[in-house]
Amino acid sequence: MLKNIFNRPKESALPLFDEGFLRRLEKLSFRTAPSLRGAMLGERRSRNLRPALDFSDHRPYTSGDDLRHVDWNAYARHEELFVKLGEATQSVHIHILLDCSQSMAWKAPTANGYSKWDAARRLAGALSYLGLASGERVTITPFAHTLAESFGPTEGKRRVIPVLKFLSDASPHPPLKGGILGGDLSFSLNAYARTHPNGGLLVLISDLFDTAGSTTSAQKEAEAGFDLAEVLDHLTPPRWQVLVAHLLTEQELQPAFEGDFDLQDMETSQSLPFHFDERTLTQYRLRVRAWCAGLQSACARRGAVYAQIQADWPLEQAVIPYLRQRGAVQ
Amino acid sequence: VTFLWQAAAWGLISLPIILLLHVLRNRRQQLPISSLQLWRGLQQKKQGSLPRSIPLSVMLMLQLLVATGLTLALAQPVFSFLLKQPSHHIFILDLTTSMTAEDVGLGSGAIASRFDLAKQSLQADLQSLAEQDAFTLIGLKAKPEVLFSGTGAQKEQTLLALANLAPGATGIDLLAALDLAKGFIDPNRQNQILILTDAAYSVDPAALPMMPAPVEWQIISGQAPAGNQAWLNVSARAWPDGRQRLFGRVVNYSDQPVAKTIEVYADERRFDTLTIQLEPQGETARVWTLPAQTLTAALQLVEADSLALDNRADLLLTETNQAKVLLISETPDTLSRALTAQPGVELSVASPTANTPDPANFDLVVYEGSALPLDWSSWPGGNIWVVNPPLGHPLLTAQNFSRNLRPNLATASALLSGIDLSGVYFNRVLQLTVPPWAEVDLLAAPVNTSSGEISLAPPQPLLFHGTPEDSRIVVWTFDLAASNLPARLALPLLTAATLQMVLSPALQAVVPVGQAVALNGNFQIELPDGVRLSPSPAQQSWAGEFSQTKQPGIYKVFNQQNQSVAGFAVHAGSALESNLHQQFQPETLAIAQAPVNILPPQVDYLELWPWLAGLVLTVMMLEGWLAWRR
Repeated sequence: MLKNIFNRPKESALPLFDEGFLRRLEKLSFRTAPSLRGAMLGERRSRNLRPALDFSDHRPYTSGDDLRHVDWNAYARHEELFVKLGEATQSVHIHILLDCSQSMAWKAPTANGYSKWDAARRLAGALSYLGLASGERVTITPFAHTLAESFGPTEGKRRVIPVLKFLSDASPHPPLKGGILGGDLSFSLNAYARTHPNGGLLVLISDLFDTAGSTTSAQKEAEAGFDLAEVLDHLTPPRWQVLVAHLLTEQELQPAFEGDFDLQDMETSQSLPFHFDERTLTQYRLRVRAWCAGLQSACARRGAVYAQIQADWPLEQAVIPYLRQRGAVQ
Repeated sequence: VTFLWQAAAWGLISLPIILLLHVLRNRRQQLPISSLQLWRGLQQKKQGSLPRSIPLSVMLMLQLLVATGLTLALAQPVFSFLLKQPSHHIFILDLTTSMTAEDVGLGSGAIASRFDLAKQSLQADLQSLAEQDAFTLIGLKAKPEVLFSGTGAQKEQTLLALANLAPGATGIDLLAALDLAKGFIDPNRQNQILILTDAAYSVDPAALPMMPAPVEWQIISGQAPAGNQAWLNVSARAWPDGRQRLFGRVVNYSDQPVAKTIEVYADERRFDTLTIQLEPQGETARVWTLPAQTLTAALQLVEADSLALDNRADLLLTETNQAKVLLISETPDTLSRALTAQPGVELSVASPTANTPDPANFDLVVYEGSALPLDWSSWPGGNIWVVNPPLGHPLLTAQNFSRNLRPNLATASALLSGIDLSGVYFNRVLQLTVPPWAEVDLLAAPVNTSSGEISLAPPQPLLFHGTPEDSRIVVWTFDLAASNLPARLALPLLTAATLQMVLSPALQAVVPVGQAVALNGNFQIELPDGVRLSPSPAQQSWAGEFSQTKQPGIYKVFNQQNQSVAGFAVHAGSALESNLHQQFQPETLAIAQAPVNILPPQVDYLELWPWLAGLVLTVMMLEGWLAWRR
């Protein structure tokens, strides 16, 4: 069943989660900051000290403390009850926010591989398994112009099947009718930050095309990274650690169209008559480069990890090593 | 290329329509993208306006090609090209003796005759004829004749026959040749007349006819100065003692003085040898006396020159024109005197009551009066002259005699022209019915009756001749003794004319090359090279003349008993042929050309629309395949 998820006949040449890949994933884990709050009895070090057998400090005994942690040797010397304090472990809450806007369903007309949506779901699945296998709590929340119903929080490796089932059943939202109806990327993420005050590791899988930007000026669009910065302002450490997985396709980075077209926005259905030539394509590539640089700069300034991922990259051979290189996993 | 239906050019309107459709289709082509976020505001070449450039694609090109091909196919283009007009080449080939002159230098140093060169040129022209072309080959000589005629498909047979064609004629009649060529002009073809000649003769430009076709000349003349010497006017006369006096004239047609060696032969044995000096364009004459009983003589110029044929002249010294005549008559005096006076007549006289010689040994048997046998049921073979036939002969039906008749001079035939018969009367004329085979030469004038009226009876024949079966018959219906003709000069003249009717003319002693010899009868002719010719089996006789005299030398005539009865010599030397100099330039003749009906050009058409339709179909299939691939 695991092999059949996301498996489409056209893409049978691209193996998904085979057993070997999953075993290799289990050897990895998210690199999280100790400052993150999480549930106790996890596998991650906590900044807080808790009563423990392996102690590094003492505190006076208070009512209710477990007598097993009383340092009876200290009581014998000082006739006062001290509780032995040691480093506590915790589990981190992994928030996977999956962009299911219509733009994620776009695929280059000549591309034979996965769409951004497929790549996003595969990446979400892999990261979910990575978190579950590491004993973390995982919550998957699709979003578009609004937040959709979440899956989780859940934990335990055995929950991977429902997670993948949830991802396979998810689908991009239909395009907006008549433009913006009150929601966008920053709106959704702000809402999510407000509803999860304890924070955690937030993995944002998105192409970061913000529908709100479609009504702004061209100058604003060129500086679209500032929208992400506004979002990240609500997801600041120490409660939040953010990994931005920026999914783009090769055609979006290096378009190779030629001639006259009516460009049709998949999310807003707006059209733009356009003449592709080398000059406009050069302008576009420069703009994309500046946009990505702006996003990366915004992430860096706010402690977030920015990872630009191409949708056609193979997951095990390219994406995971790339995330390790970026310090998101270890 | 012409278009049969030019209105189909309106189909070209489809081209801009196709372009417009492609432009519109290109404008409506939509490209879904993730977001317009990064595309807005880029500086485009045509910012804010619809793209109007023509999308150059393979499909557009194919569709334009299909539309163009269909339009062209509907216009029914035809490729027209002119067909080669069928031509008619009339070749007039000089066959005179001068064409045998070997004075044309070839490239390799070899020498060829003028005729060989003309023949090569003619063969090349014939080879180049197409099958639909026609040709006519006319031999140019004193009596031009058509040698070959046919179409290009028959040129191979003509080429084979042309290889065996040899010249041999004296004198030309260019006017007659052109008239003959004019008769062969084909109005349905492009006619072209080509005259291949050495121009070694003179032509009166004013006498040339207007030709309805262009006339070209191909002059074949010797490169070297024409150096030819020839025997002319070679003849012999017998002396009373039997010796022969041989006369010959040598003419130098060269512009240089020459020394020539002359050899004289009598009966094939060398009789004399001498050397003579000839001035440029000079001549000299020599006389030799040959011994009696010499049968043949020959004069030979030893040194070779351009024309070899006229370096030798042969002569037959025996009398060849003696006609043996037998007169059978009871009163032969008058007629025998008339016959004896005729040259070349060897007369024998016999009485009908005595033993007569065998008529087969005589060229002519004359029966006078009752000497004509009455028991003949048909005319015996041979030549027979009947004078005053008896009444009641089965072959000459007669009722009675007429008296006192005079000839009607108006009825005299051409054979009697120049004979003065005025004042002659015939007092006893047999009232003969003219046989159906006979041709009347003279009729009696109508007589007045006793009452002074003109008799309505048919006029009496006085002289007629004919050729019943194998005989040649001449009949005089009057009695010589009962007329005043014996006292008139008209009698020997009338006798000579009668002999001319009944006998073949005497053979000439010498004839130029190519000239016909008058000859009648069933004889064999032995040519100088020993070949014997006989008349065709159908005719059993030479039809008046023998014309195969191309070879110079002695021709011998043999009778059916293989006896040599006559002969004649053929000489190549003549003032017409031995002078090898070109006598005129074709440019000076300027033969006028009559207006020629210009043939309408023959045009053939090749329809191109099936090819265009095939091209369109192929392109449409290619377009369909491309569309299916997409």
